[in-house]
Amino acid sequence: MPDAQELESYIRRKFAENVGLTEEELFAEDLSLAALITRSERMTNSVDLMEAFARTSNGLRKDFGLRVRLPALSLDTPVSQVLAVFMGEVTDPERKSA
Amino acid sequence: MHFEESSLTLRVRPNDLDTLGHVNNATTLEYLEAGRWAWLERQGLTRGGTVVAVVSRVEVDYRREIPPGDVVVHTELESPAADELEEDGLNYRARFRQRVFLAADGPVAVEALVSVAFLDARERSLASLQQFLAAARAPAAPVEDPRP
Repeated sequence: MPDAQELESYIRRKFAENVGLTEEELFAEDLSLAALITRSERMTNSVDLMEAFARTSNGLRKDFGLRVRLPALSLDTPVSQVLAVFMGEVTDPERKSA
Repeated sequence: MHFEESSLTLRVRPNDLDTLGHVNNATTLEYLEAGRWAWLERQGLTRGGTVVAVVSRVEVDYRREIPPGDVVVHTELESPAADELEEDGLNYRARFRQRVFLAADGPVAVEALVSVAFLDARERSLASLQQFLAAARAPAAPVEDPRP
């Protein structure tokens, strides 16, 4: 089982891939979800955003057997908080098995 | 998960035609919508569930004019692909590839890519494709007997 640092690195990388931005663009400025949609050429609306999160969640399930439930997030949520939500889910022992 | 392509034959109605005597471009969108309903039926999925599909994007290429007569609407789920769609996975978007043919063996007149998202009708919040499928496969709620 990967440690927390590896998981965080994986989630950061997958987020960036799925939204079509670099990790630096995504996390250095701690973009809000609304700003993320505007900045990414691949995203038009919150459906695209949820799909990007879902792809990250599916990757965690396939690669590590970890299940993540996606909460409802408002568009002013900063991406650091989204990362924290994902980390909370994957490090919660009661939700680990997929 | 695998879904079959569907095929729906429609008769062009007189009021579908514009002043040039061919099907109006906006009417073609109705043909595409009918094609997607036929796709749902082909999979044994029912409408009226608690999670509904809503169109989020439409890309249409008009190849030929559609004269009076029959058209055949082919509809297939392009995305997520079979290996990307799992019962315990999450997908929030689906994309259909649709083609409208002039009669069963005629040339293609319209090609379209239609993206849909899913909404929980009660919460009015985004839902996943898996939630939509679960709701569409659930048996319909029994109709209450109105008699006292």
